[in-house]
Amino acid sequence: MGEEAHTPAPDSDGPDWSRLWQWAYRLLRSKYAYDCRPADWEDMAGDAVLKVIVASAAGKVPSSGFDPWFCGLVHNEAIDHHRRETGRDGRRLNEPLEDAGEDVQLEGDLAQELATIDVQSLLDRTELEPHERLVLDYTYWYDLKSEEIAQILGGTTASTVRTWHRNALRKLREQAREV
Amino acid sequence: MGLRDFSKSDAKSDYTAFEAGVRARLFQSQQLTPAERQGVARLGRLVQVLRRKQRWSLETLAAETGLPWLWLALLEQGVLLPEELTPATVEQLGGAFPLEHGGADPTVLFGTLAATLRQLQLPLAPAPASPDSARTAAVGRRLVRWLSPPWHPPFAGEVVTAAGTASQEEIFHLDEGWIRVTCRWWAASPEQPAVLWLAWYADLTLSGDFWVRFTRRNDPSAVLAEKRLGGALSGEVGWPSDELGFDPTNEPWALTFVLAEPTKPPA
Repeated sequence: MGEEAHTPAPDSDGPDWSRLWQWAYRLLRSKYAYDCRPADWEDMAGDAVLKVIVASAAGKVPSSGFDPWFCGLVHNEAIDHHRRETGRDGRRLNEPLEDAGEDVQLEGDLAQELATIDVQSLLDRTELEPHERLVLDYTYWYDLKSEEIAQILGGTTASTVRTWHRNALRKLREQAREV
Repeated sequence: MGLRDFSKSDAKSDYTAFEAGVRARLFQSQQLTPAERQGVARLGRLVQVLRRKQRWSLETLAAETGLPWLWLALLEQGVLLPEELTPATVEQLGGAFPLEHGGADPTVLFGTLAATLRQLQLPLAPAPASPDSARTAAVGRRLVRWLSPPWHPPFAGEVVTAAGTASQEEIFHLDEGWIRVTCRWWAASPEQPAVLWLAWYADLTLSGDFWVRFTRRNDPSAVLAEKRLGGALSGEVGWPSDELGFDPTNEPWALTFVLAEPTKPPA
């Protein structure tokens, strides 16, 4: 892999977490997330080390083959980061909301359409019911699943939440086409 | 429990402190119900999602909220205990995130999720149980101040010759002193069941209740028994297998020594 192995072998002083962090940082910078910013590498490397510590305390770190296991963990961090940034289909833009790009990642063609319009004003113009607006917010901003949203709202089911979601998308789509 | 175990001024990352924090909570985390664990994990994930949307590092979030880095790191990794999510800290956390595009309020959302978690923690209707099993259930709700690595005494739970049943001894070292644990066991005879005897001697500056947790030798998550030893720095106790709940001469076992927060006197 071209990277020096830094298995955190326990010794009298315990594992050297800062060395592990440095290794993760180098992996991200040179291999798994080379198109990200240094601040992102730092954040991802930190999260990778925290995950190793939790796994280690739970006895879930493999006793042999630590290096490939750790590389896989760092790689997954990079994949998660990429998905958060660009959506599962990689089509979400990274511009701030006020710059008319992000978020409300709608399905299919609508996502592309929305990339060129002001999402905030679209949301304001569309006559969404309060619960539909909340569902959109919880889904696309807070990254919650329909089951979780149902639990948070209380007195409803995941199926109902998905219906509200579909209705909200339909209304947004219709409004977007009028623009 | 609040934030008393955290250094409020420290917003810097400290992996060693995080490791100690994880180890101190692991024991109690394992006692949580799946719903509680899921609830904590959900809150942690949500914090991570919002933090990344703001492009804040964990250290930045600590500075923005005024909450300790360690507390936030434990929360994001789903290791924080539900009782550590007090309404005040949750509000402090939610209040740091800006209200985006007039939608859902993070403070309200965090508050709702934390309240749901607290509801899960309300005591259930008491099931018929022996006094000892009630005490066993209690350890999971206490703050663990220290716990030893699992110790498998040689030949524990294995068929051995008489020579193998001699006392076994282990000394656990911690920053605040040491604890010597000695144990011995006898197989069942026609007159009496199998017996496990345990003695401890501690030279510690920490105070609290001693507990001992017996697990399967090859599976630390499979708890065979938990016994409260009390607050005395030394003592000895013997348990017949029927009281212990497993046969210490037939079931390969390991033990973990636990120092938990002291028992509160009854009101």
